[in-house]
Amino acid sequence: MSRDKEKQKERVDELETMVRHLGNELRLTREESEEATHKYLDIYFNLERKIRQRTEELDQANMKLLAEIEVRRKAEAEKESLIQELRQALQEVKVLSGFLPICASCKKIRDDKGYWNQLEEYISKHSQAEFSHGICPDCSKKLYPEIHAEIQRRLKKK
Amino acid sequence: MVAGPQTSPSLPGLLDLVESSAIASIRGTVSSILALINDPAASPNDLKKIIEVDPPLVAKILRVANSSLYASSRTISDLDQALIWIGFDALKEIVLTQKMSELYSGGKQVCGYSRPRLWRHSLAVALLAKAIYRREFGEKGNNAYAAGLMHDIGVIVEDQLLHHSFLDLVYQTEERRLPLTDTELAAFGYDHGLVGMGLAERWNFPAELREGIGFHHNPEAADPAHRDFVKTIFIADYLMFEQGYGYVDMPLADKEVVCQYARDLGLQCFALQAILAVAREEIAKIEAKGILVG
Repeated sequence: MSRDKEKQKERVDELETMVRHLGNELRLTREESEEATHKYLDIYFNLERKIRQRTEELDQANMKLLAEIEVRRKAEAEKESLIQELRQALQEVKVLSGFLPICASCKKIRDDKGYWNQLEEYISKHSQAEFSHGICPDCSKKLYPEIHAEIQRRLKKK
Repeated sequence: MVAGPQTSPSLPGLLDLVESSAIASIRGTVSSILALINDPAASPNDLKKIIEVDPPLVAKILRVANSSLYASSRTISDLDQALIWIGFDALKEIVLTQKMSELYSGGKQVCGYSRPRLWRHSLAVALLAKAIYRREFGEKGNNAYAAGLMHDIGVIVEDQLLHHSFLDLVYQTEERRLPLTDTELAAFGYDHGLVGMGLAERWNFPAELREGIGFHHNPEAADPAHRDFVKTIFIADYLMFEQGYGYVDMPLADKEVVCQYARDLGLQCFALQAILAVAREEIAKIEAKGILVG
């Protein structure tokens, strides 16, 4: 083989090597690029999944909070109502414990609007008290003397 | 004067000293990254978990990621962005490189030796070994990069823990024109390859890497399953010394041995020269950006 041909062959070998090197680099770079894309997509979808999961957790926490707020609101309303009732009761206690204008003769009581009410009616209206009517010994002697005398006689016999 | 074997700790003794020294601080991150490199199922999240616990490392990574070496159209402000814009493999290499570089700061220059020169050599071997794997063998070469970066870890162990004896050795090596391994064996009873391999065993590095570190001066002693890998590291180490990326001025191995290993691997001379040119270009780029040492 002439010297020129040898040189030519060497040059071809060198070029072939360079092409092979670049081919390997290109293939590896492509593979790495594909791998990087997969990794990127993994990160992206993982992030999406985490966001979805977190949003669901936040929604659930929000629902719980709303339910708790409703329970507290109801409790607050009940408490307010109870306070109102207690205030009312206190007011009534104050009315019955204050000065009551009463008729010296018929014993009717005058209310804050100026009307005269029967004693029983007025107290029933402004307190928890209820009335059960009977008759005392003095009044029965005065109003029903015969019946009173008969009762006294029978009691003595016993 | 060279310190005699009687004044130096035994190899297990030296490795015990490593565990209680600053060198051990890189163990967790480096071992985890090497495990990731060798785990095809590893995810970007696994890598993030390793980096996140080390804020100074995160800062260094972001600095490198934002350098024009990895020129991106936008500012990379967190690890997720770094993963997307730089890529999983490149980020693993950056983490390993930055963590390893922590061992090579400080020290002083004795003859031709200094820690930054040793680091420059390690990085050069890493880049060349990886380029051989990519261009010639069509493989990613992540382990070749790691082995290149760590093949002289035994030297930095000796420098840090047997400082004065080691600097004496450097002086003797250059003065008497001997290979460093010869003066190491005479003074300590072991060489930096054995120190590195012992450390790699204790830190559970993958077998291929252990062999690459341990036998980078003597590939024939490596396990046949990893011998081609070790020969690649040997060739990269030799060529980078020859190209002026060494760290001690010492006689190199017989060129014929290198040529034989290259033939064993099917590497032609001009193919190696072409790859060497690519690696040199890359080192020059890294040096120009001022990010050689983190």
